[in-house]
Amino acid sequence: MAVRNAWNSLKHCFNSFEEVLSVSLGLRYPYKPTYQAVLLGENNQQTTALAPQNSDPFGLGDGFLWAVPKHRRTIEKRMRRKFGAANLLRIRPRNDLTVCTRCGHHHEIGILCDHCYKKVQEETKLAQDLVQEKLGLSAVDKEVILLYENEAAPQDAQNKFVVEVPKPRPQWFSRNLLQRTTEVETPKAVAETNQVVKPADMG
Amino acid sequence: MFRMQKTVTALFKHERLEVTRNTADEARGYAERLISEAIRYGDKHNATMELADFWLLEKQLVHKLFKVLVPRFENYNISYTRCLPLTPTYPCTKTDQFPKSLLELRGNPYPPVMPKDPHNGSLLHNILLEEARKEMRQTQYLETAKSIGKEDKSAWVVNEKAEDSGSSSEDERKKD
Repeated sequence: MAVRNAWNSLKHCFNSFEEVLSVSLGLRYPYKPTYQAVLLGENNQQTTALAPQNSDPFGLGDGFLWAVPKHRRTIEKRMRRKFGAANLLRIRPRNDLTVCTRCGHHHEIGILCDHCYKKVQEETKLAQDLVQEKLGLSAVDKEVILLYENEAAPQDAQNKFVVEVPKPRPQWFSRNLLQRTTEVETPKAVAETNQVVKPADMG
Repeated sequence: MFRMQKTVTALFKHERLEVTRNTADEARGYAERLISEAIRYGDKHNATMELADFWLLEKQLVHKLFKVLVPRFENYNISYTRCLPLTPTYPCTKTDQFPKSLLELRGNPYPPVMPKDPHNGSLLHNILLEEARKEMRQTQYLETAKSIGKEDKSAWVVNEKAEDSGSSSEDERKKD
């Protein structure tokens, strides 16, 4: 205890000596005291009671300043808010529309062209109704084949369930849907084999 | 689950269906799984038969699954179904009018929905067109080559009078 007191007084000595020298030589200003001096009046009583001068008098940190603007809003930010800039870009351009290469109507990218599809939809509905009518509730055990007006039945008609459609075949609905144009996979292989494949069922 | 059963049944029955996007997406999985099981185990397998019985509400389609669809899809190495988005019919507020998808089984007898690529360079008409374009370009190159030394240079001079006046003003300045 005594050692500590001695050490503290020694430190205080050095500090005051350093302050006196530095301030007199004009090297720095004196440090602001954190505690104001307690003035002893008559009878050694404190004439003024002073609280420690602190930046956080209530000990709340920034809590006293919750939900309050911390910085000044710049003029640019104010102007942006003022003249409805946020509303100007609500109307956005549609960049996802393209033109169908077949019919020339517009459609969304990645979605089937409505004009082209309507054609197919009509034809499909007609065919589906006919197929269901003919099948009824009987057990389905064969592949269904659609035969349009004035068409000859295909070679393997015995293994297929033929449904006659009473109208001429549309131009865009080819009979030959699944046959490959070549028996071989790559163009190079095709060139090497020199083979010719005749497409079947072209009407 | 009943909704899915209905969708899968309808898909097997009609082979092409227009349903809402999410329904189509969900039903695809169930339909393909059912077909896979049928291919793997065949119709003598009890569990597979029960599965088909559960999913296919119309029993004639159980015959269709094992007799028609299994031989069709046996050697497939791609999906058995195809799901393509359709144009939404606005306003999309009621259940009926939510954006729809076309859900279909591959190999169905109906006209194809996806147009074939018209710009496929291997197609005969495209090969012929490309050759025709090349020929056209060749003739144009020849014409430009012929006319290289014979250009009409009078068109390059903007205004002869203006040039003369400009030069005279420069001489005047030099004098000053």
